[in-house]
Amino acid sequence: MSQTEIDLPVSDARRNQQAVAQDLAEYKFGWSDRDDGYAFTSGRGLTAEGVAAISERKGEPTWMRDLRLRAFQAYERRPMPNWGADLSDIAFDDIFYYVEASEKQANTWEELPPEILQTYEKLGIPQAERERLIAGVAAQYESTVLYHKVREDLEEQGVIFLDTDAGLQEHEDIFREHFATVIPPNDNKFAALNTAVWSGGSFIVIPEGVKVDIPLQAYFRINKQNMGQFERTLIIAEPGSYVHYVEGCTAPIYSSDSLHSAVVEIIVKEGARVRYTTIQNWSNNVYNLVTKRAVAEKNATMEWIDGNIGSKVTMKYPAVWLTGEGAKGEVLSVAYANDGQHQDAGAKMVHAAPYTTSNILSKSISKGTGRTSYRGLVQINDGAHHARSAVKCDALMLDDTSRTDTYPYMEIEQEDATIEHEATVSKVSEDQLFYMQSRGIDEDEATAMIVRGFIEPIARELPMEYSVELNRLIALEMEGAIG
Amino acid sequence: MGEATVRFSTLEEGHPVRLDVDGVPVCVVRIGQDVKAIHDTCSHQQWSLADGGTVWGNGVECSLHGSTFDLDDGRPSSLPATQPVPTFAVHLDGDDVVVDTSSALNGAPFPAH
Amino acid sequence: MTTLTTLTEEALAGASDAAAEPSWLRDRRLAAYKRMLDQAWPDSRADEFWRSTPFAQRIDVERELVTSGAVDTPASFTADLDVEVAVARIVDGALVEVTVPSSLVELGVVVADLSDAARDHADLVEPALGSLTSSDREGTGGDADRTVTVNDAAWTAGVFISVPPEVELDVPIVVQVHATVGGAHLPRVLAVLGHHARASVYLEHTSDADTDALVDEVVEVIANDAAQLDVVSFQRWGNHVDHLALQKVQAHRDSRVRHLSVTVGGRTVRFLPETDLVGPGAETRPLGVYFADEGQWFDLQPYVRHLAPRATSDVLFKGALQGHSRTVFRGNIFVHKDAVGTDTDENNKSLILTEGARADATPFLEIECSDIVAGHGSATGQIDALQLYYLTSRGIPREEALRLIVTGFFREVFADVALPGVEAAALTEIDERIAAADLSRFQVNDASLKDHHDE
Repeated sequence: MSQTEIDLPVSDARRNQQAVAQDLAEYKFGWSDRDDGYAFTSGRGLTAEGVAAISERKGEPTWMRDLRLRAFQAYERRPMPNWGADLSDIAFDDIFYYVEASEKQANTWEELPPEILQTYEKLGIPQAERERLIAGVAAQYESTVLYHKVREDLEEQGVIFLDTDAGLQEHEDIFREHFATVIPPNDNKFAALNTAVWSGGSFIVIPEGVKVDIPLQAYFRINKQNMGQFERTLIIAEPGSYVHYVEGCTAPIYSSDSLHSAVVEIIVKEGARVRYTTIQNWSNNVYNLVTKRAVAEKNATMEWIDGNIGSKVTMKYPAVWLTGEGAKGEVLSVAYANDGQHQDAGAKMVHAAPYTTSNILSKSISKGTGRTSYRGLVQINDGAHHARSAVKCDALMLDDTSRTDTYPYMEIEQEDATIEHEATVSKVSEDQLFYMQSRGIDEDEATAMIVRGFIEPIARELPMEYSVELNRLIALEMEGAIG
Repeated sequence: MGEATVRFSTLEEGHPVRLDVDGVPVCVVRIGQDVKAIHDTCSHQQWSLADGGTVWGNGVECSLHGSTFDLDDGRPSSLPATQPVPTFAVHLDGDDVVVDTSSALNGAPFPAH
Repeated sequence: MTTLTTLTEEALAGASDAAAEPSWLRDRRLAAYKRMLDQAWPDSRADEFWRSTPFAQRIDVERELVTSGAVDTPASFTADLDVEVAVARIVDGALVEVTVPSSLVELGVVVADLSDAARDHADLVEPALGSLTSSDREGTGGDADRTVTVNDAAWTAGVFISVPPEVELDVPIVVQVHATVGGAHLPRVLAVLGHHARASVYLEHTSDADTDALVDEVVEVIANDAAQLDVVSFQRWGNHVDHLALQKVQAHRDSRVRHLSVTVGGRTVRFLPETDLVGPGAETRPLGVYFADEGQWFDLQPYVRHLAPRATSDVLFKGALQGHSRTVFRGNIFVHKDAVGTDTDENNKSLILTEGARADATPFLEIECSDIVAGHGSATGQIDALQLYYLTSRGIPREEALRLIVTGFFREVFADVALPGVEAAALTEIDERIAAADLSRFQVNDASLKDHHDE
C-alpha cells in the first residue's frame, strides 16, 4: 500500500501498518489530553432548563426538545434499578452532561487542530484513513463530533453516515420516523437520561439493496473529569441492505468517576443484515450503562458482537426483537473483569414472530477480584411458533478471588419453541499450565494463550485491527501491567 | 377489584383512571371533552397502564418500559411492546362514563390472562 | 377467628401455653412474629425470588387459621409395601396420630409431636428448630420472606424426627399432611440425623378433592457427618390447594442427601427444596418430577449453597405440561469462595405436551471460587416426531407410544433411586394423568423431520 506524508506539525506522523502494530505492542494506559479548551457546557448536574438549553444550543426542532423534556421527566421519576451492578457511587450532581469542544467540525483530517490530531494519532486513525481501509470515520471529541467523512462511492450509493446531530438537521423526516421507536424515552432510567441529554453518535441509513463492503467505524473518547458521555446512535438498514458498524474506544484513567450512558437503536428491515461490533476499553473509573436494541423484521439478521474489557461497572444487554417471520438474532459477547471491575452483561432475545431463531454465545473471564455476570433473556411470545434459541455461556475464572455469575431467564409462552441453554464455569487447568511451562512458556504468557483460545470463537469475528488490539490487551492484562 | 364506572365531571384531562368493567380492567382517559377507553393491560409485560401511566397526546404510556398506546387504534408507538391493546367504545349516561367491554373496537385480541 | 393477617402476640402466646410448650419455644414464636411484622407479603416486582409468581394475585392470605378438623387421612402409598413404617399424621392443622414401630423405638428413633419434643427432647430440638430458616440463627437465607416467618411464629402442628448416630433404617418415616377444611394450614417438620445415621423421610401432601386451602409449610432437616438422608416429598393435593413450601436440608461433612419431589397436585405450588452443604465432601441430589395440568401453576426453586470444599451437587428436574398450565424452574447454585473443589451440575427439562402450556426457566449460578467444576443446562421442547415415528413404525399404536415417551422421559430422574415404592408411586401419578389426558391434543414437534431453518 502506498504511503503519503501527513503535512502536520506532529512528531510521529509517518506510519505504516506494521508501525501501527508496533505501537499497539507498546500500548499503555495512562496518557490523557489536556483538560481545558472547551466552549459551551451546561454546567454540573441536570435540570429541565439545562435540557432545554442543550436543545436550543443545537438548534433542534421543537419536537426533539419536547421529547428531551419528556425523557427528563421520566428520568427523574424512575428509581435506580434494584438489580445488576452497584451504582451507588455515581455522583449524578457532579457530572457535566453536555460539553462542546472549541473547535468546529473539520472536513478532513488535515484541518484538525494539532493537539486533537495527536490524540487521534495515538488511536491510529490517520493511518486508517490513509489506507482507505474504512469507508468513513466519525471521531467524537467529548460531546461534539469534530470530524466526519463519507467515502465518495458510498455517497453515490446514497448511504447516509453522519453524526446524529447532523442527521437530525439534514434528514429530519426519516430521523423522526424512526427515532425512539426501538427504545422509547421511558424504557429505563438510563435510556431516559440519554434521551434527555444525548449528543453525538452516528446516524446511518443504508438504502435498499445496498451492501456496504467495508466496516463503518467510530471512535469515542471521554476526556473530562466527571464528564458524561451520552451518544445516541440510530442505524436504519432498508430492505436487502447490509452494513457492518464498528465502535471501539479507549480512555485515560481518572480518579473520579465518569458516566457513559449510550443508546443505540437499530432497525433492520426485510431481508437486511446489520452487524454491530463494539470493543470497549473504558478506563476503570467509568460507569458504562448502555441500552442497545435492534428490531429485525422479516428474514432480517442482526448480529451484535460485544467486547467489554474496561470500565469500573458495565451494564449492557444488546437486544434483538425478532418481529418478522424468519428473523435471526445473534449476540457474541466477551467480558473481562479485573480487580475492582464488574461486567454485568449479556443479551436479550425476544421472539415476536414465527420461525425466528436466536443464538447467544457469552464468554467471560474474571481475574483478581473482578466479577463477571452473564444476564440474559430469551422470551418467546405467544404466536411466535417454531422459534428456536440456543444460549451458551462459559466463564473462566483466573484467581481464587474472582467471581462469576450466570443469570439466564427463559420465558416461553409458545409451546413449540425449542430452547436450549448451557453454561460452564472453569479455571485454567494446572495441567495445561504445566505443559506450557515445560515448553519454556512463562505462566503469564501461557495464561494469555489460554484466554485467547477461550475467546477465539468470538475474537475471530472481529476486524483484524481489533483482533490485534484485543490480543495485545490480553497479554498486558495477564502480565498485570494494567490496572 | 375496583369501580365499574367513574363520573365524567371528576375526570381530569390526561390522568388515567382504572375501572373494572365486568371483570375486564379498563384504563379510562379524558382527552378534551372526549373519554377514551383501552384495556388496562400493557401487551408487553401485563403491567397496568393506569398505574403510574402518563398521557402524551392521544396515547397512554406504560410506566414500566415506556411503550405508548394510541387511545384510538391501540397500537404501540414503539418497542418493547409489539402488539396492540384492545380499545373500547365509551358513552356517557348522564355524568357516568360507561365502557362497553363486550368487544374490542379495534379488533385487538384480549390478553390471555 | 384468626387469619394470617390478624395474628396477635396474645393469641400466639396463648396457643403456645395451651400446648404446654416450653418458654424458649414460646419466646421464639413471639420473636418471629415481631420480625414478621417488619416484613410485607412478597412483592413480585421487588423480590427477585418471587419474580415469576405474582403473590398478591395467586395467594389469598385472608384465610382463617385451621387448627382442627378431620382425623382420617387417605392411606399412605407405603401401605402397599409390606413394611412397618413410622407414621405421623397432621390433619387440618393438628397432629392426630403418631405411630412408631417398637423396633425403631428400641433403636432410639424418635418420631413425636414437635411441641412435646420441644419439652422432652429440648437438647435436640432447641438448637435445631429454626436454625436453617430464621435470621436469629447463624444459618443462611434466614427469614426469606413473610411466608417463612409466619410459619416460624404460628405453626400449629409439627413433627419432630430424630435418628441417633449410627442407626441405619431400611424403612421410611412417613409424615402425612392432609387438608379437608378450607383455610390456612401451617405444618412444621424438624428432623435430625445423627452422624453416620441413615434414614428416609417421606412427606405426603394430600387433601379432599374440593378443599380450598393455603398450606404454608417449613421443613428443616439436619444431616450430620456422614449421614445418609433421603427426603421424598409428594405434592398430591386436590385442585384448590395452594402450597408454599420451604424444605431445607443442612448437609454436614461427607453426608449424602437426596431430595426428591413429585409435584402433580395443587393449584399454585411454590416449592423450595434447599440444601446448604456446610461440611467438606457433602453431597446433595435435588431431584424433581412435575406434571402440570390445566389451571396448575408450579414454581420450583431448588437452591444449593456450596459453603465447604469438595462438596457435590447434582440437580435434575424434569416436567411435563398440558393444558393451560404454567411451570417455572428456578435453580440457584451459590459457590462460596472457600468451597474449593466444588462439583456442581444442574439440569432442567420441560416437555410441553399441548397448546397453552408455558414453562419458564431461570437456572442461576453465583460463583466465588475458581477451583470448581460447574455447569448447567436447560431445555424446553415438545415430543419429538422422530422419536414417535421410531415407536409407531415398530407397530406400537400412537397413543401407547406417546405414553411410553412421556414415562420414559421421567425415568431418568429415578435412576438410582432405590427407595421402596417411590418410583412406582410417582409413575402411577403420572400414568393417571396421561390416562386422563386427551392424547389427540398432544402436539408433536416435527422440526427434526423437516429442515425448516438453515444453520
